[in-house]
Amino acid sequence: MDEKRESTDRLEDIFQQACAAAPLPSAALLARVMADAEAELAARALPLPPAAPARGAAVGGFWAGALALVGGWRALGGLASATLAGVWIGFAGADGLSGVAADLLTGGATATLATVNLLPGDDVFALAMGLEETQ
Amino acid sequence: MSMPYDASSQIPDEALLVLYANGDHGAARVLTLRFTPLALRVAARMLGDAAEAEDVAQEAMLRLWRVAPEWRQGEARVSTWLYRVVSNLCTDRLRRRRGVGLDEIAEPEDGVPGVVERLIETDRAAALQGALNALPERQRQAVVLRHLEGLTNPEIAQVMQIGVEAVESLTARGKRALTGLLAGKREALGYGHG
Repeated sequence: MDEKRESTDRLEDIFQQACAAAPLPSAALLARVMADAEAELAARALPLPPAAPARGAAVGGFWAGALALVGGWRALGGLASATLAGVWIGFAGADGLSGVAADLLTGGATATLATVNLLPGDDVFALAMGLEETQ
Repeated sequence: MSMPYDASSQIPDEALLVLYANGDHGAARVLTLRFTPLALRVAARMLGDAAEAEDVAQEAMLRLWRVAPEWRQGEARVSTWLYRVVSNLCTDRLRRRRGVGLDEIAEPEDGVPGVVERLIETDRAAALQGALNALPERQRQAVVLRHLEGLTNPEIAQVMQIGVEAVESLTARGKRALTGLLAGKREALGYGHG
């Protein structure tokens, strides 16, 4: 029993001495830790990088302004479709459309709209067949 | 913006951490001086290697700087958090050093003879470190925190994330093992004529 008590006391004695002789951080270690702290602060303090300029803006202010004027790319698409439709109607002739206009005015639009022919007289088909035969 | 060291040395740990998170360089200095010694002590006792202990202490402090902006007030003491981080970093290094998982390591019987005898150093601190190195990691961690850092068993339970009874068991087994390991060094430790 005394032997056990003696061993315990001896261990406590060693613990106390070890506590008193605990390793202390060197100046170099403290400097490294402080440098890390400063670096973290600096990293957090950095402002966000400015956003990259849009590609359209780089092309030129005039075109960007013109695009904005018509309402953007989507509106420009609609505008282009309407232009092409107008060109096509001009090429194919507007004979069929006169009937449509008359029906719209007289109230018989439903039946006529279902049968409107934007390629009147099969002219384009005949033209295409003719071109093929000549080759 | 930084407050002088003398003024901030009485400020609680958590308040210093908030100050640091808000960009106070003085708070960083006080936290460095307050907690680097703690991290180094525990790492040195756990690893038994001064250079590795410095690396772990620096890494643990870096994690403290990084966690500062998200620190949840009142959830844990800074010291408890740091003890846990240091312990985990040490455990990772010990695992890598051994190349096997902790669960695969069989705990040595208490009082294995001859471990301390192999040490070249004969002073008590070196003998204690050698004996600590021979303990399983969990026992070593509990003994270091209890007998060298002076933490209470509930505090150790928080650090190790286990129950208080498990802490008591680990420290008791660790002390028994240390006693056995150091028994063969009585003469060298100056206890030969007691």
